[in-house]
Amino acid sequence: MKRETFDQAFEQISDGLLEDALNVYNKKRSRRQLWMRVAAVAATVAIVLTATLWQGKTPDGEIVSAPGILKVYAYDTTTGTSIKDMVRGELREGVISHPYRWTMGMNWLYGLPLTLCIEEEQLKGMEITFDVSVEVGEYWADNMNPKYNKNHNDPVADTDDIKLGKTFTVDNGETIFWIANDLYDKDAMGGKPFLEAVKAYNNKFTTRIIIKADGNIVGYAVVFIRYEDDGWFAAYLSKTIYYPLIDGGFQNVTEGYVNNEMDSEIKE
Amino acid sequence: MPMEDHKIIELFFARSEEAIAHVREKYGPMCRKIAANMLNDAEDADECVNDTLLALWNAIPPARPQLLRPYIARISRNQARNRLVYNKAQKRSAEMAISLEELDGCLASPDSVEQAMEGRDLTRAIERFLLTLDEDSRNMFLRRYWFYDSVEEIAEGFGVSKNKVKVRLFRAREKLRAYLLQEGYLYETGNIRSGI
Repeated sequence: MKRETFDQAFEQISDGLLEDALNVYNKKRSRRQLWMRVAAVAATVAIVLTATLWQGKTPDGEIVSAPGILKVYAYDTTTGTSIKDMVRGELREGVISHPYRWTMGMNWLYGLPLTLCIEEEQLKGMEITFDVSVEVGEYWADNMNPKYNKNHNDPVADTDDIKLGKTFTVDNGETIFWIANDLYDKDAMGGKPFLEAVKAYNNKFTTRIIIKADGNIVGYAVVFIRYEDDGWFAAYLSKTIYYPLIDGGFQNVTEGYVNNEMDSEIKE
Repeated sequence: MPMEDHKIIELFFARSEEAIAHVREKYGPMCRKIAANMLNDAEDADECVNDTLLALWNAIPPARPQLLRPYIARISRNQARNRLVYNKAQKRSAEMAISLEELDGCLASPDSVEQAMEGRDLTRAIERFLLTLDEDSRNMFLRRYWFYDSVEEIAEGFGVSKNKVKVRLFRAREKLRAYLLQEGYLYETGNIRSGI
């Protein structure tokens, strides 16, 4: 292959990949600084914990966070007709452009599929769940998941069994499907037709995910679903954060705190 | 405080020349760095920045890039490459020459398959390949072969040794070759130069 041929094609790769590379030096610098701060805070927490250990209390006020552990998998929906056949890839934080997309014309899929997964050693043996909420659209479950469809070899007869809605909880490793039905509902969109409704949201729809282990909050993630000019939707992982166990115990992270953190991420 | 990108784009749409001034202030250094990494002459790199701004003025509108910074980076790279193509006396910078030699090793193939390929297909294939790499390897690959940063710059930017960068790049090139062979964009020669 001529190098010019490769170079010309290489030059046209997606803006998202380039943006990631443009940010990387600043991100690496600030990540090194973040880890130094996390180490300093963790050291401080360790000292205070040692001092208060006989009381069995956890100090208030300081939440230690670390880069997220949630894996969000998306699918190249052009490579198969069911999830198990499709090529899937892990969404990387901040990487906007990739081949894992979906369009409403794909009527063999309920919606844009995402699989949520945690494999963190510190949380091994615990029940991991995800509290998911979305403002626009709704989520459906995988009809092949026997949790929802007892007769999992056949499609569900009643799709109400797999409608998760706008706010719901799913288990570790589940696949969920985002559907843009709101956008086609003029009543829901204040009378706006589809493209105007999409534009009103700046082509971006937010999914919030609160991660819990044995019912305790251990992290969050913000996923944006973007409408692209050619009529396809694609998800990208905007941010994911982990609140690690401190000395084997959960930090006192509240829903209010996490929602504030996600609000800040969404506003940026 | 630099102007936000969406406001700069609106200035382009309003055909206000303030758009150019804002882009020069915010992204001029990036454009110059990309050009300087490719060209052997500081004056040419400066002229390339002007060429980039003109090309941008002509492109927006109708284009409305979602991400302005990489859009401008791509125009800069293209303008610098055009200078090399059309000005035959112009020599590539040493860094660009080394980077291209490194890539040559993984692109070697006895038959040309360009005629059978759409450029767009190869672009998508390269994107899919890049997504098979871990984040650091992907970004090192892009910084080296798209932006033509030196190994020293990449090592400093990532906070790692030069040797680690070289090893990561070498492995990425090997994976690229394997990927292109698998996807049918290359045929096996039996000879791969290591480039390290």
